Amino acid sequence: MFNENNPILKVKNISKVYAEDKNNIVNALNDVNFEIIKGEAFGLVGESGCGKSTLAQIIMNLIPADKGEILYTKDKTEINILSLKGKKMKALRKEIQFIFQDPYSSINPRKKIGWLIKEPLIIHKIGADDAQREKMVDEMLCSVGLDKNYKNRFPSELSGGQRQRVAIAIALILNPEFVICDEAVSALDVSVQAQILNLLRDMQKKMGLTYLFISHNLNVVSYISDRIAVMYLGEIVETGNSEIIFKNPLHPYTKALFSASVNIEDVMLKGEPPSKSTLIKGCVFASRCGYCSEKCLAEKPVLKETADGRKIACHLYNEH
Amino acid sequence: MINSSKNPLVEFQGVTIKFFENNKEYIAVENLNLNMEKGEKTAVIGESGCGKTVTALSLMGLLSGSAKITDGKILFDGKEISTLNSDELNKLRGKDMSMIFQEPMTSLNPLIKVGKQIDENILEHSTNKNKKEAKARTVSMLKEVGFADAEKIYSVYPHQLSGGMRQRIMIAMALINNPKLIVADEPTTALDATIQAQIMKLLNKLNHEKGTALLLISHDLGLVNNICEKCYIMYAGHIVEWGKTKDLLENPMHPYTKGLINSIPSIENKGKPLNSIKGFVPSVEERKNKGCVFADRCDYCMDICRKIIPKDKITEDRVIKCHLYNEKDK
Amino acid sequence: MNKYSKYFKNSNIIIGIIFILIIFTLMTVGFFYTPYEFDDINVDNKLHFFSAEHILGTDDLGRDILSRLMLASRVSFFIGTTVSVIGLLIGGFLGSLAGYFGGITDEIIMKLIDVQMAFPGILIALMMIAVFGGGTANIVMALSIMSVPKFARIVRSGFIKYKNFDFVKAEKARGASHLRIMFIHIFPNIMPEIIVTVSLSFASAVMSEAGLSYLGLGGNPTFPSFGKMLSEAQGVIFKAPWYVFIPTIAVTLILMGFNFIADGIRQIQKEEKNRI
Repeated sequence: MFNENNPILKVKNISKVYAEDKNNIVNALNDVNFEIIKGEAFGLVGESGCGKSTLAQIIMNLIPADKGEILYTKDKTEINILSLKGKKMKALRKEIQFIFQDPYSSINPRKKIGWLIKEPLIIHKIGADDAQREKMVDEMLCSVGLDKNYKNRFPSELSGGQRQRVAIAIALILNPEFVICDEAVSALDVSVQAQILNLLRDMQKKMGLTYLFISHNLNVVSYISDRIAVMYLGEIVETGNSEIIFKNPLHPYTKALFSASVNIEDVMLKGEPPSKSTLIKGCVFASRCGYCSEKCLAEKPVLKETADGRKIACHLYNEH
Repeated sequence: MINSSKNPLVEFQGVTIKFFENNKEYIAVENLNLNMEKGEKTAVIGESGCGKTVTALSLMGLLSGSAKITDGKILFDGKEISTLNSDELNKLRGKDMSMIFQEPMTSLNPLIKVGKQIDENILEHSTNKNKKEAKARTVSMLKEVGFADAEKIYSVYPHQLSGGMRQRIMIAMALINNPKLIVADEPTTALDATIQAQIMKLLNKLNHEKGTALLLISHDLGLVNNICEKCYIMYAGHIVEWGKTKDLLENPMHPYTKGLINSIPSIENKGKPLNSIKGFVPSVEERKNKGCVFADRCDYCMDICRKIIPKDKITEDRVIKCHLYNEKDK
Repeated sequence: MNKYSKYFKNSNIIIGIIFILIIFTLMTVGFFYTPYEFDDINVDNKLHFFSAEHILGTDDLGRDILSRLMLASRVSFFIGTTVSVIGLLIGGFLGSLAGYFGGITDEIIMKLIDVQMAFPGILIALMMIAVFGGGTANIVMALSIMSVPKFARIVRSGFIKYKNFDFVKAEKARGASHLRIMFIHIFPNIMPEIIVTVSLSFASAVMSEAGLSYLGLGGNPTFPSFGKMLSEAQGVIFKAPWYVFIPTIAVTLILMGFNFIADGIRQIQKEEKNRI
């Protein structure tokens, strides 16, 4: 399906600790590793506060990481995004775009739609003159399914779904390679969500985009992603082909998460996630896991590949 | 016929609710008929702005100042809500019916210990003002909603609890007086999937054990399918279809219900485009009061749909508001 | 519908504009025509009541009050405008730096502003006049410095609020420069608050100027101003009680006018917030 040897983005050993005050540190991300292959949609699943949005912002180099590298492949050379500054970073920002969850706060309410979509072109000095830019804006509006006359409207005159179309238009006008969708459809109603998912899929095909699709909604992730990673408290617990994992989740947390959306009576999960500032020595999920053993409390499991190609961080599957 | 009821607890009879704002009136809910048996679990499903929350609030007698019931009546246990004065309503609320809100962060008083807040509900509605007994009842209720260390939880403040724990406190508070009905307005939308499952499991268990009827307001078809026996689909202020949940979700008949079900992405329809509904949900201001409310977004729209509001077509196990199923109209 | 038309439908704003227009018209006419020269002394005709010759009467030196009022409003508008503009420029600049960058920049700027706020404004003005002497330029300078903290605070809090909005993060991710984000994206969003502050600082500058010239610390001693007229009127309050009302009403109209405008804008802001 996709060439495994052609990764566009490698997340390597990323760790991030927030210090709330001197005695209270929060482990946001702990040694996160994965690769995203060019042309695929990679789903990142997890509950709120598991660190998925922090990771997205680190990939965009909006906040610094404590440890690790983000390697982005451009013209067959790998660049560490986290080491870039100034002009080089600005040049790379053309390639990586972001779509946010809330279409009400992610576009400036005081600017007209046409102005907003044109702005990235002005920032990156693309297009010979204003007429050419206007033409590009018209084309983009058309491909996200909005009429040309929306250019002169303000965001407040648009519905949530239309605003999200505008946000997509702004993200795609620079013809990027890689798009991060952070809960991009979570704030929308079911019927509108379906339209936006269709649009995202169409644009992926048309422009050859690679997606990092971050969501807590398993239906959405299973629909759009080729491969997924499941995150719990800043660590990846299971990753691999999305169909394999959805049909047969192995990690106890993945199981619990997936069964929660199918039949509530099947849930065997207990308790609440521990506070993020507690230092966990063993497995992060041990306190809520039904299969927890002494080993789980003492030793942290590492991600290991299983026979069917996925990777799991759980002592149940790492015996040998 | 499905709409005949033997032992009704809640009845909405042709209820219309309007908003009055800046000398204009907007219809929030129109000609709504809904009934619930005692001990039944019923869901109202709809997208944002369809009027489902207004429906719940009208039943609780909690409509805000600008909203008024202009037509029809709401009966709870044989009493008409709109004829009750505020004292009588207060007696009813918290005792015979109680409500759980979406946002557990803002529905608890941050300055009072959670146990005390539950106690207050007991003392308010009982002639016995013994505080010790109230505390004992609160602690046992906290145990029932799944707090192992109920004594400790009794004396913590809301900010010390997580969202899921707060929602369980809200449920304990709602259940403390053994109400006949709980209205839950998106009780788990603000919570994570695994916590959501725990909360819904709890509500389900309490319904089995105590026979409390549950009116669940939600947008999540999967969740409703798991919990509720009966389900109403609401669109732009109208109930467009209702019936038994399993049957309705497997065999939807109204074009909106069909569209809604087809819009849900899943691993099964991966790689195929979703059959979404075209257009977007009209806001209250944009709604037309001529013809079917769904006509503009409907794939099967006929001439008559734009002219006449369809009547309810009542069959053995379904009620549908659509011209497609009304023989005479075709 | 025009985006701004709602502002001109608000009754508070309309009343405010009418009040200000009354004085503004007096001033504008004064540039081209005054019934008499403002310093035409006529001792035979002093403390004259309202009449066809002297519409608002004459003062204790027989000068025409209407003509003096027209010129005095010039002083008030000049001081009000320059003080708010200078305050906005300096305060807006400091506030946006402090709010947008936060951290140590914020600490330093806000500490300086706190120090300045610790002194009562009128004291600073008195001190500056004592050191540098009176005169319009010094009054403008003193009052501008007084108005800086208000602007800095309002702009800072606006920047802090908006810098955490997703659209600002999105702009950063898109490669927009800091200046672009600050002045093209955030600034228009806090414009209503800024206009409110401008109106209030205009009003308070007019008030302070009147106070200072009442105390005899105003600008050009030969040129009339509301404060000076008031102190002159005070001396003859038993002989010509109406005189004292004339500058008072003029100052009140300006103060109330700008306060009404500020209230109206706040009202609209609140309604908009409620709708969302």
